[in-house]
Amino acid sequence: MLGVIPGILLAGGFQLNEHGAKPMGLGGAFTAIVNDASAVYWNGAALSYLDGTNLLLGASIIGPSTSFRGVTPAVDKSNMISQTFLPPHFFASHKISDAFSVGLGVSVPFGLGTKWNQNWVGRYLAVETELQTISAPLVVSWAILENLSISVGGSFSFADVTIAQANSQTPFVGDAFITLKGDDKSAFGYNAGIMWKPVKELSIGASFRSEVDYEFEGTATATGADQLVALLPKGNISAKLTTPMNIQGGIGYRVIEQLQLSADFQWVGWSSYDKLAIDFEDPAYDDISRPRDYEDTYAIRFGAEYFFNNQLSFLGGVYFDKIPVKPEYLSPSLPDADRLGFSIGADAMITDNLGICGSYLFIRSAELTVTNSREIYTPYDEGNEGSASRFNGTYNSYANLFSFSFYYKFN
Amino acid sequence: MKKILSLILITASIVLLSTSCDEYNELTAPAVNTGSADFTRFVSIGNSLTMAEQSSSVFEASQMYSFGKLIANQVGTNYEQATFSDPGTGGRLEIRSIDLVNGSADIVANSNQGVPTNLTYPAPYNNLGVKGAFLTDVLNARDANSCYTANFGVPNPLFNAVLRGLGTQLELAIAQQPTFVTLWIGNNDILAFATRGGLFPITDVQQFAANYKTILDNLQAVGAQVVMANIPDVKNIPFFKTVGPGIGFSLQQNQLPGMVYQTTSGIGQATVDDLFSLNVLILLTGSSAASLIGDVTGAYYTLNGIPVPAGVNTAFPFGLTAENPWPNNLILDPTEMAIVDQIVAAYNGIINAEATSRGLAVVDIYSILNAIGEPSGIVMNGITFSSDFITGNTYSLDGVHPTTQGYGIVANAFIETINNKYGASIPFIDVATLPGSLIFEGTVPMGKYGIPQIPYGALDRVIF
Repeated sequence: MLGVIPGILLAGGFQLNEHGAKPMGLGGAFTAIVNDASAVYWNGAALSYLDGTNLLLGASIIGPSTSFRGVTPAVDKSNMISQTFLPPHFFASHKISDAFSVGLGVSVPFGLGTKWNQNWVGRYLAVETELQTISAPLVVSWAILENLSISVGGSFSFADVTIAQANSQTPFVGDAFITLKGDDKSAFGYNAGIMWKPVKELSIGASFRSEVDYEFEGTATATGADQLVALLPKGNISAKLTTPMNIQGGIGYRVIEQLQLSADFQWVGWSSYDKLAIDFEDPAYDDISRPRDYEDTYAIRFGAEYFFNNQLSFLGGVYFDKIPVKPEYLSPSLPDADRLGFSIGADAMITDNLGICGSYLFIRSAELTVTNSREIYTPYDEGNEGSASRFNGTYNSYANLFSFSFYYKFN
Repeated sequence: MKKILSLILITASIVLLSTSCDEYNELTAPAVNTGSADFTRFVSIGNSLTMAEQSSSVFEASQMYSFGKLIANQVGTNYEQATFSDPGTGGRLEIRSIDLVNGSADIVANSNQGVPTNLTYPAPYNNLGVKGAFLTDVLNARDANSCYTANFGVPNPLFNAVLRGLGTQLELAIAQQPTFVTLWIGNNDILAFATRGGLFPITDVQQFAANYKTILDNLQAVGAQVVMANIPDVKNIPFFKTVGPGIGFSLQQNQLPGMVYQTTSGIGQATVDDLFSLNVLILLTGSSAASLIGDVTGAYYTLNGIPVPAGVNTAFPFGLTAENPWPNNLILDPTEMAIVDQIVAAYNGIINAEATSRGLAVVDIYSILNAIGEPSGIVMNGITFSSDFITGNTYSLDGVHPTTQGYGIVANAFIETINNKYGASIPFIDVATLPGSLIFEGTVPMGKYGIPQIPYGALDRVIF
């Protein structure tokens, strides 16, 4: 089995929305129409509409690609080192009574992984950055009426982070290299959902997922010239990170017997991410604080499912995902841009109980040219920030994703 | 069936999209406007500063950032150099240990030597700078044995490496029919005197004027545009500024009023305040002798294998008494400092006069290095550049030659002058993007009082 390295920059910021092959095939327009155990993530209230016990297990294969051309006025191209990510997902649901259903799961709601060459022009800003969060939600759904349900739940999460970058040793020759690693073994969040099916053809759903506060503890290590190594930051570090809340509302409509259309609006509270701050326990080393000033953002999602017959359906989706960061704060550790996603997929029941779904998503980021960067990419002396060199240039990104889920219904 | 068809169409269009996604908008760097300056055949004449000496050696990692090469990169023209592999032409100074908190360092000379790496280039080099070249060498030196310092028993093999027996610097410049020439020469004609504590002849001012004129006449005769650079004030470079205040501090700590030194004509005295205020200049070559001040065993002479001069009694405290004074070759006394000032002013007057009468431009390195020599230094691209030894970012470990970023400042000074003179808008170099260049060696103890520990003799070849 391949090592599981979940996490990558796919949605705005470092949120991942690929929790199941079917929602990915539908462009993430799934809140109102979720009909499998992934409701645990998408909308807990939908659990009330699932009979018996349901399992869903799968993973996504993610291959992102980013290039940077600059630094302005130069147009030299640097490519991010290609990596493949395999965030898994697992969900289970069970109907306890006519009124109550429960569900639990494991997935990767936030993550990122970027890696640049150690000698690239932006090495003092980012070489390797990796964040992975693993979240295990537990949800209870209550069917208030036959066509109306609500849910509440909590989630247990853990996360780890690695930030590695080069540090200039000027006026001395060569670079030092600093690696920060930390983790948070327990963080908690909560969620809620509602689902209403006023008529047979129409469903409306909404879900809420809370912010999660992570407090990372870890260590800094540094390598560099023996003569300078005493000055390089090292020792215990701590950092805080709050992942944003999500509010997602959707509508699903069965246009004709064979075709269901869905649309979602997703609001992401990215303003929770205002700075990247790392504190060193040893007061000899300056704490790191880089403003990020993310803003709340949104995504608009559309999906279509075509039912070929009772066993087979085809999926298609498209979405637009708005950039959460002002270009001047953009860092090559987390390239970002307005993104368009196009997806297709197929969902098939192999037996009466076992189904498989596979989907493909292509994400294209708008070309983003930063002209007023606040990121300083060369050594500078404190107080001289005003005349220091800024990381202006042009980013281009795209990604290919494949996702597979197996699901099983115990009747 | 129709719907399946449309799904296939959607699939096909997505595949198309994903395969075409590598095709980004073309970006082009802005074209460089060189105005009326013509860099088609760009040649540099000069000395170690043109050759990009750093830390007492000339090596490829520094030469790739020579000011001429940096300018050539900015305007996009060819620029070949006589490069040397690591650690260069010999005696490169490297940091064995450093204490940035208390400000001290141990510096050693690398005993290895590199080899020429561009010997087969079939034409004369664009960069004709030779470490150790005096003004007269531009016209007369053809090899190690015909260079000026050969008259003093120091034949300079770098003339062989750069000129390769093809002619003088001036002849090789002319042979290339240069369209543009940088001329930065004459530094050694006074610096050799200054770095040897006044114990080396100074090039006569009249002869300086005549030679400078001849060089310009010849270059202009082939239609070359020439930009000159003037001669810096030696008082503002770390070679002369670093050790004296350190000695002053150590004397103060030991409650001693000052030091006693040998002059060419007798004995001189410098108070602690004279040392702090740079009224006398203790040379960087005296850094190891500084720790022997007060010694009554003759250690300075025995350790360095120097015969005790007549009239010196090493039983008296070294550097503190007329019987055992601080050696003349390790200090620039007030008389010698005045001579240096006067000669630098005369040379620069000649350079300016020639420029004015010929309508040529001069890069005022003198003023730029003076600004860097001010206590606050200058700020460029977020980095503060001062004349502090090691930490000032400007000067390499020999205390005379710039760091790589320092050469970036020189290149920018040339570019500014060229832009003004020729209506050009050549972009400046972001000096912060140039790499650090002070090189490390290993680990051992440190010097006191902020005086770097440089072995006696390690700086003997800093000029030639």
